[in-house]
Amino acid sequence: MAKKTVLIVDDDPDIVLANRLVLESAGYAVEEAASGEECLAKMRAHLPDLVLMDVMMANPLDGYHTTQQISDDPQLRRVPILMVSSITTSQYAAAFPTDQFLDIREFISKPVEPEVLLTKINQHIL
Amino acid sequence: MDKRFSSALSTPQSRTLVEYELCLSLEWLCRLRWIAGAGVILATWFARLALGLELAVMPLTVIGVGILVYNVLFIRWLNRLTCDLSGANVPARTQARAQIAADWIAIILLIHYSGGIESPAILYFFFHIILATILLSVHEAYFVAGLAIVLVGGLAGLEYGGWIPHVTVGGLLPVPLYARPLYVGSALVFFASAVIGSVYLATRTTGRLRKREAEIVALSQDLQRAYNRLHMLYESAQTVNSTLELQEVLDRLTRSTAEVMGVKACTIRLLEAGGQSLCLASTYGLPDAYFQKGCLLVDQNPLVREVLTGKVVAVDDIAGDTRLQYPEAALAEGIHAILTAPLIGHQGPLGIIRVYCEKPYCFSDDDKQYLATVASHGSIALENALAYAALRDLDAAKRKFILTVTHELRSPVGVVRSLLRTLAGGYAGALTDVQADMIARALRRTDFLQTLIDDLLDLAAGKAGLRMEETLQSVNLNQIITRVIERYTVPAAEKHLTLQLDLPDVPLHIMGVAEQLDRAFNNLVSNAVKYTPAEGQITVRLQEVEGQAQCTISDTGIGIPEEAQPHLFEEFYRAPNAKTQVKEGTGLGLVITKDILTRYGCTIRVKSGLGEGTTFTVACPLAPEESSD
Repeated sequence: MAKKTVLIVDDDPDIVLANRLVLESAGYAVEEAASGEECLAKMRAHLPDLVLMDVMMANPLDGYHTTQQISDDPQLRRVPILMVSSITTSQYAAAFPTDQFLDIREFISKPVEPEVLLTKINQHIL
Repeated sequence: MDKRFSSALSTPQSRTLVEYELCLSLEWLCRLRWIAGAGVILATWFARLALGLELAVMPLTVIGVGILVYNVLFIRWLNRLTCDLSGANVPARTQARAQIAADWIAIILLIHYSGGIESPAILYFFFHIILATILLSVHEAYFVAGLAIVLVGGLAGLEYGGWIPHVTVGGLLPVPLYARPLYVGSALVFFASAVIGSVYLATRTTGRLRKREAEIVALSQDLQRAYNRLHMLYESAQTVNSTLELQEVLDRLTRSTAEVMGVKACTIRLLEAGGQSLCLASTYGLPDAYFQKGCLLVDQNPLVREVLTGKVVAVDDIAGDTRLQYPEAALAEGIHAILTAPLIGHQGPLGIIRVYCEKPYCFSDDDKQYLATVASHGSIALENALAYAALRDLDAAKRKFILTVTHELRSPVGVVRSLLRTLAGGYAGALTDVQADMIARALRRTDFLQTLIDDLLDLAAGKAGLRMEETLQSVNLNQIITRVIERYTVPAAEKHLTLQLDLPDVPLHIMGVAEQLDRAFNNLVSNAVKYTPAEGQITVRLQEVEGQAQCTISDTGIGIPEEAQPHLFEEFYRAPNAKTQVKEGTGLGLVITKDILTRYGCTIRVKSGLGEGTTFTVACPLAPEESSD
């Protein structure tokens, strides 16, 4: 059985490196995208089994716009999305539009504990 | 332009004051008339019975009774007029004339029946003349004086010529004098000159009194007007100062000034472009089209330059004045006079305030002074509003700064922690014991750094008013505290501490935000665990006390020295014994705890002694019943 693929979308290469190590050690294949645009391109080229999306990319709303576009695309929308943000409290999270429009499975707040990350991914991956 | 003021007047104007006086004089006149009527009757009968004079007793008695009777009628009439200061006393003048006319008929009859030109009663005319000068105007006084001369002269003439019978008072005079031309002539000349002389003297005196009266009235009007202006100035100052929004301040100032001064319009222009131009900031009473001409240029406008040096300048007639930049526009709006005062702040001129009048020469010295006063208090309000706006800008800049710093500081530390945790978790390959130990140490330090940054930013956000507006909800305190205690079960067990929790049977709800309350209680329990040596005891008790939710967190720890207690809730403060016990600590935990609790109306106090353990007591108002979940 082929390895499941996780697409990590984050503009911080250090975060990507840390997450890649954790995921690869758990047996996942990892792809990277540094922007929303790159994320969409990578998804269309090869549909991943899960997207790990950072909210605070260069443009703070980039993560959301990208998620919106994924949700609007019938080909892409079935891929579960985990949203990672440095926004810590649910109060802040509530300020953002939620699953009414976007198929966000869960919010994970930064910094992410490796164990927590793996648990969540196992839970949501296709 | 003083229409507004005169309508606001409540004191009598000069006319009503005179009417009022007249009204009072009539009452007094009626009182005197009782004496006159009774006097006629008594004197008649005294002369007849005691002196044995032969006089026309019946007619004279009838005259006396007649006087008393018409006096009753006049008093009744007078009672229907209430003497007041409202100015509704116009019939008083009519009645004064009627009373005088009645009296004159009575006295001329009295004179006739008491001997005509020979009668001593002729002297009573002088009373009437003096009364007339008191009650009537100067012209009327001279008129009635003339009438007296005509009446007495006529009576004497008619009796002399035998056209009417002469009534002789028997026993008074040895020979009748009424038929002697020399006597009649000289008596009339003396009578006439005496009458004219007394009228002259009396009117002069009353004239001077009336002038004084008018002066007093004018003075009281001035006073009333000054009071009104002062009152309106106070009111407008109140209105203007009741807001800090710049535009609101300006708009209220123009509106209230125009209204109080009763002028067509009022505008405020503020200095812009480094003091080079005066641009419209607020207008009241003029159409927008009027201001299409744009800003006034200071160096092309000598009038404005003069105003900005601190003077109030009036253009009394726009048509004949060359100082205005756009006189045609003003005339087209029907404006003929403009008064301009400077708005001067502590740092120098801020702008100008202008009022526009539809009549030429309509501004008095009072108006100038008033506008200057409005301008000076307006300047203060304006400066306050400007300072407030600047403060708000500063605040916004501060917010932005803090948010930027938040992100810039937080994210690299977070990344370092992620990388270290990845290493520590063995995801990048197995570690030797030494490596694992070093990474664990590095992680501890970055964890502390992360906490410090989070605490600092939280505190800074709170101080800067940056915290998002919180929606308070009814929070189950039992749940919050249970969750916190569960979190510390393992660490407490590791230190061999007994962690005891006492909860009430019924959950206690308070208004707050669950996460924040969690944080506050977490800090308190965390401290207890940190500063209680092995084998110690920590007791957390929640109960309802005097209508409040009260939570006590007691430990048998190192305690807080008395001298340290007042500083516990100060930023970065750590008690000396705490520092030796636990190296890492930001000294911010209790500050944040207190900050959170205070936000939800809770109080926190501490009871401790060195080596005796510590008890923190938190008391919060209970949530209203209906909002409990």
